[in-house]
Amino acid sequence: MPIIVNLDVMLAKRKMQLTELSGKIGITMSNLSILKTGKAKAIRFSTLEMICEILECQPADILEYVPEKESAK
Amino acid sequence: MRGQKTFTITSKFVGIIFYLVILTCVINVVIRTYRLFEGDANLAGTWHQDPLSFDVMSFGHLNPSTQFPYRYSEGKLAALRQPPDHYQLLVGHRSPIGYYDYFLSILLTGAVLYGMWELRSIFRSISIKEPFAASNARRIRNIGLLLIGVDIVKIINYIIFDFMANKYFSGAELLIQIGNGIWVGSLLLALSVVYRRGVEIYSDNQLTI
Repeated sequence: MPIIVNLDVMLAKRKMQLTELSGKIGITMSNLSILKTGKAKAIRFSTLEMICEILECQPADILEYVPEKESAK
Repeated sequence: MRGQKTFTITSKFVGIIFYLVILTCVINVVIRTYRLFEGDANLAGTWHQDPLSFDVMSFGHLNPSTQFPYRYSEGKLAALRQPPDHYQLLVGHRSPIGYYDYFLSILLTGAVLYGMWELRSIFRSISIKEPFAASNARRIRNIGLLLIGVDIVKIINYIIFDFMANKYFSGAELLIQIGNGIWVGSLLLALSVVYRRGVEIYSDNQLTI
């Protein structure tokens, strides 16, 4: 999928664990793992809003568009 | 959860019906096989042996008889009578029609067992909380195709049966009743497409964070 989720990058920048984020936004670890590994098919605005609020970032910091050819490389 | 009770009752009902159908099919096959081995080819001495009897719908070409007597074919290979609105055909179990009907009954028994197995598998694989399973779209489609297939076999059977019966009684036009399998089967095929789409949407929903 050409949309890359950079949640792990932002977590590393904020020195935060996935479990901590999970507890703060009230989303299960398994669902956050699905999001982090790029297996998710969609993300709700409410989820994105909570992640941005906790990580103090913009949606563009978490989501990135990489064309298929580039992502294949 | 709403509908839980209905789902549980239906699921248990299907489970019970499944075992009853298996029992009925086994008994039917055993009896038919026994009669095939013990029966005669003609009707000369088989009145005590319960010959194979077919009730077939007629086009109503023949004049209705008040007494409904049987008329026999040459060599007493078959007997035919016409009560109002249908014919009754008697043949020996080891006659060509008897062998053919035995083969057909085994085929239909297999179809019934397969259909019930698929229906039971559907109920075993789903729950009221997770009603969508990808394998069930295939199962619903298979049941639909099975129902259509059974009706197609019935149509072919009509032609073959008519051909075989007319060897004994020329001029009698026999019509075997065809069920609603084609319509119900087509409905199930459409339902399987809708269900498959439901599985996709459910899967998408599960992967929406």
